[in-house]
Amino acid sequence: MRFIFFYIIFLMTGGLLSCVEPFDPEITNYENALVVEGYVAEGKTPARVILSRTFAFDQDTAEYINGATVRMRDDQGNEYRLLSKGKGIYESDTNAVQGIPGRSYQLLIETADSKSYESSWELMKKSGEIEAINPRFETFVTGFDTLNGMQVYLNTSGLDGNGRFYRWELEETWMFRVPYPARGYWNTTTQQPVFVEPDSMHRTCYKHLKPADILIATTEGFSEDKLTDFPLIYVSTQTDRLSLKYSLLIRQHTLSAEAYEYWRATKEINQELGTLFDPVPADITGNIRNIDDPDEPVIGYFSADGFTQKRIFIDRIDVPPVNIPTGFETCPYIIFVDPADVQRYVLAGNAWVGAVTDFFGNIIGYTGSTKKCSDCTQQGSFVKPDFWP
Amino acid sequence: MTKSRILFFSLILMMGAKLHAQTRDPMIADNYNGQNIKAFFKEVSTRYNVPFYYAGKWLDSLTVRQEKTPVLLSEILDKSLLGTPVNWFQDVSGRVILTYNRVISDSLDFVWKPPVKILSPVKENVSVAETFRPVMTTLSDSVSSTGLGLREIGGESPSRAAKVTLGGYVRDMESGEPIAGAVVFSEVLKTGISTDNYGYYSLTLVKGRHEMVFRSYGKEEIRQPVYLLGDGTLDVEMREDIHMLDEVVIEAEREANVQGVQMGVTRLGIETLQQMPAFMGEIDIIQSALMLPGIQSVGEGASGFNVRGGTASQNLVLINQAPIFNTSHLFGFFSVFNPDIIKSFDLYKSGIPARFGGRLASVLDITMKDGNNREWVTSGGISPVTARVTVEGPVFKGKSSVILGARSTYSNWILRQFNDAAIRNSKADFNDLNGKLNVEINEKNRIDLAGYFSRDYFLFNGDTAYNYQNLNGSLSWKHLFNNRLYSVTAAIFSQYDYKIEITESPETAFRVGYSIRYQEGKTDFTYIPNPQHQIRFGLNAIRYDLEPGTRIPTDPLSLVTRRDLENEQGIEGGVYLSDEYDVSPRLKLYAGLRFSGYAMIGPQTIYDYLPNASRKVRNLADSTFFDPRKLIQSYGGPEFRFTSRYNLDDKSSLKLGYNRMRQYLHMLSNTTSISPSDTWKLSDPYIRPQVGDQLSLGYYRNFRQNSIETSVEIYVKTIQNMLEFKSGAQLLLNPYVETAVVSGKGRAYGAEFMVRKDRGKLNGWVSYTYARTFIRVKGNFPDEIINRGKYYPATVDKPHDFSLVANYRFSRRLNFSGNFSWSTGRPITYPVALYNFGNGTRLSYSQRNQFRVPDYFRWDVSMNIEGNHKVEKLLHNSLSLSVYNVLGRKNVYSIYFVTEQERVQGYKLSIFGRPIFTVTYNFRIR
Repeated sequence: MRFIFFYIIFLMTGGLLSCVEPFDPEITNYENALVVEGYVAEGKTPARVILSRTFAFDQDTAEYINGATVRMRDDQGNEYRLLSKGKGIYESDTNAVQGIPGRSYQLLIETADSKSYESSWELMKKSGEIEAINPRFETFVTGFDTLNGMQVYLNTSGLDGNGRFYRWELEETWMFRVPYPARGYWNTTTQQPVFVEPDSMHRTCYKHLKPADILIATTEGFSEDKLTDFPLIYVSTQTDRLSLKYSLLIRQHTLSAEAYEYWRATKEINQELGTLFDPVPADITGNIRNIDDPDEPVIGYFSADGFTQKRIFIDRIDVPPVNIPTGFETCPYIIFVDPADVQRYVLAGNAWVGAVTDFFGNIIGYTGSTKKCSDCTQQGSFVKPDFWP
Repeated sequence: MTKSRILFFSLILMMGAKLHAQTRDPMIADNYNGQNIKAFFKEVSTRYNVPFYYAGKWLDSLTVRQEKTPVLLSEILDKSLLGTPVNWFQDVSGRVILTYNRVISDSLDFVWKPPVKILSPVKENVSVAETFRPVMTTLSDSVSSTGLGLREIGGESPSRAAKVTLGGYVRDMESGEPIAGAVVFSEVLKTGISTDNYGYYSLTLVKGRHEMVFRSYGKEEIRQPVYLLGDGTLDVEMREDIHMLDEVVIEAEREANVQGVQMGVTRLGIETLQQMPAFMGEIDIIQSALMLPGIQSVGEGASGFNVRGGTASQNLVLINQAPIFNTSHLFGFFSVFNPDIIKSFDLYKSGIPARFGGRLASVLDITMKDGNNREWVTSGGISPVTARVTVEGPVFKGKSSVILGARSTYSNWILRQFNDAAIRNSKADFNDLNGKLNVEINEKNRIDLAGYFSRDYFLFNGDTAYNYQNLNGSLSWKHLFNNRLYSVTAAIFSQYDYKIEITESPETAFRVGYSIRYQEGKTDFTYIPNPQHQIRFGLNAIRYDLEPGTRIPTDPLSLVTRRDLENEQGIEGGVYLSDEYDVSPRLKLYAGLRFSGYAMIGPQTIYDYLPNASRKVRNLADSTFFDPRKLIQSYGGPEFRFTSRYNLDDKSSLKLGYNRMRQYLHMLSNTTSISPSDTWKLSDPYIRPQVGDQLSLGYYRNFRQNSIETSVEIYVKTIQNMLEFKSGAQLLLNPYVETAVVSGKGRAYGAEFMVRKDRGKLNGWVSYTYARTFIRVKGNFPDEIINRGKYYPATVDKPHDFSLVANYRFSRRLNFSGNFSWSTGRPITYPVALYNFGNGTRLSYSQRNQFRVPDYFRWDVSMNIEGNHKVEKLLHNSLSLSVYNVLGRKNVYSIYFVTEQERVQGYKLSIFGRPIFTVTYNFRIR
């Protein structure tokens, strides 16, 4: 709705009168606060907590906290330890924790500098079922651009009365191929190419991405705890996602009203500002506090979520025959006659791709391309994921 | 030169000379017995310095009768004139005035009290010699500066009391419309009053001769000499100031600045507004008011206004006594008041009279025009966005008139110019309709029926429709018991509702609705026992009926359920008594006491929350259902209103004021400005009434014969139970709305400086305000604390504010105007750091309102060209050309930050980032 108001402003001012310009604030100091993101999920999914600190605009990334003691307890008196996995991530042992709906959970953190934090007690909801994930080909006209792509819709139904608040975490995985995979490597000692088995050629790789958008919805106010055709993500053909095979994992969390509210507020102040009727942005109160110093600002929320997940695949053949860029359209393919030339080319950071043979199989030259166009590990992972068929 | 002129002249001279009186009654040393009396007078006047005034023909046959020497002059005069028709009188400065067949009584000297004597008390028990009419009453050509003849009032039933009451109506000569706010005063006594909304005044004066002065904005001044013998009526009709177009005068204001007891009040006539540059050619009360000190808005296009640090919902906006709940069209770009039907408005920032109540910050009292009761007139105009037409005329000539005004937009054409399909599929429509009928049943009774309707419709992209409307009406009856006591009794109705309908897909099609209904009955009495007191008292009762929210599925396939928040009912009542008391010519007091009470009544469910826990849905403990008409919660208390004026001298005064206000109706809004989906909410067991106290002190001084007014006002304000909203609060359709709000304390202070010139070719004003406003929210639980419980600047906190309004008249038909305004940017909450959360980089905001948007700066100009000024012409035309934001400055409305692919980018949004040129045409046909 806010977005609509924004349009109204445009329209009332002749569209040209109002304007939006980039702005760089001058911020001299900021509060370095602890950030806690975490949940314990229904079933055998490991409980997961990420600890970090806020960081300044000119810093690239957050400072993750690895040395803390992180524990979780439930209302039955069980206590679990979450172990550091690096990058600020702490996870429980899958076998040890079983998230049981109806129980309450609390997170306890002790940092290396002996500060103790706790979350409020969170009651775990029970998840309903994801009924269907439906990708459909859709074309959008936005301004001057026409977009083609697959719009992924979700149908889900919750267990009424068990929470009508949802959050989804998406994980995208897609396969891609380089056009000129290197057939092997160049032995600089012998100054000869060394062939490798075709299986070891870095031809096909996988890319992973977790979209940063906060995806939440509620069925509050609906007669049934049911969502039909809820738009999850638009996979545009402007990227290479759909060029071969694409997979999407949908992890559905059923949240408490407060946890939902926290995510909603976070989403609102991060994505939906810039209109005439913006809410006054402000710091959002989470459910983590310093036990000894309740005034210390702590960002974040620890929730106990009902949980279910579903994975889908979209093959190239599922997408209508529209042009899908691979990103390799401009790859060079160079033939060298003199081995010294190909050697120089490879030493300059490029790749040897193969050999040119004559009618009798004699090598009469070598081919080369850039590393990006011949080695898929430059952009993705060569390891085929477990779930990939 | 006739004798009367000589006489009058002499009387005038007496005033100045009084203090320098010489020997009044000299001893005459020589004997003049038998001489011609005229020769005697000549001799005495040169020798003893006693001037004589007379007409020679009276004295032709008279001789001096003197029996001894030395003898007093008075003795000679008495003896010589005994038995003749000639009488004599000697004033305090020794001048001797002879009259023929008339007696001058010096016990009437209160009439001629010169200015220096004002400070002494008025002489009581003055009696008029009933056998002789004082000399002036028969002089029909007695001089007044406007050449009006002397009128004898109350002669048919002369009163024996020393004081009599003069009452009457002040009307417009052309249209017969009452003139409100005209100042009526006796020039000599400096006693005055202003007319009420019906153009009525009532003034108690000592008997005798007065020159009554009538002044009103844009009207020719009237000076009417009267001779008061008893209670009576004096109605006057004022003519438009056609001959003095180059000299627009607000006489009333000029006197009021220094002499009035009121402080923090501004009255602007529509004439002033018409000269100022208008955005998109739409003359706008609220936009114009923003140029006054102490009145601000949070940004361009924001609906509502802020008075001395108050929120927009703390203003009581009344049109014909009925409140308006949404004052803007099209989400805030235009105000809902059609300029053609507005006569004037009063804006009270402090010193709010006891007859008003219910809002903390201000009262904006808008008066609609009465129809022309002489002839039918049609007027109207077109601007790029609206067309307006007003028809007015007599129903019964001179007794009853009607006015009807309509305004409608045709801005759809703008929408169709866009490439974007979403906008092309949109429709914008707003209109308003106003009407008023008045009937003067007789001299003592008058009835007014007024109605107001405004509607907004906005359809976005063919699937989201906004609909909101104001409807109100009032029926009032004014009754004159006598010249000293009158009452106005009114029945008032007002309703505001909105609907938002979303039909994007059948499954999610729904409509959200809200409405508030207001019914009020009230009666106000004004009693003027004598010129020292003006007593007002009255009572009112209001009933509120709110539908806080409904959501209704609008498609059979829709999965949206119906939700109806329970209706709310409330009753508010008030009684008040106030007195405006002239303690002495230097000191004037206004003291008022209002007692207001409020009750929320059933049927309604009230939720209980766990004790010692923060008010959250999770801490819900129980609920109680209250039966219909059962008391749920009541609040109330006294509200003191006090102002005083102390004249330092003729040109300057000091004023001190204090007032307390209570507000039982709150606006739920967590946006910076008022948005169309904001709702009003009644006080309940959790949301307590807001209470505001204000103390203000002002110094006022006029220069150059009152043509330049200056004022300095300082104020301190505190607000209890100010409503603030939790971060990210969800207010719409929330049955537990008490969990989304917190209550805070507000405090504000400031100083306002203003220099105003209303006359001359160049007129306008300059104002500067320094003002601060802070809020503190310190609840018992973390989510009920904002900024760690410390005071933080409110969104309306703009410390420096400078405005300049200038108007230059080149000729009667051409004038140029310019507005200039500069103010500190409003406070804003910035993100100060980043953090990782939910796979993305998020913004960590500072504490509330720790930063500011850049300063606001705007300059507008306009040119008004009037058609021919012949009064009798049938068609009057005028054309206005205006440029809004001449400099094209991109004033920042808001700053916001968006995370774009792991990067945070800040943006500033400006709304009118370039000059906007408009042409408006207005006409008037009669």
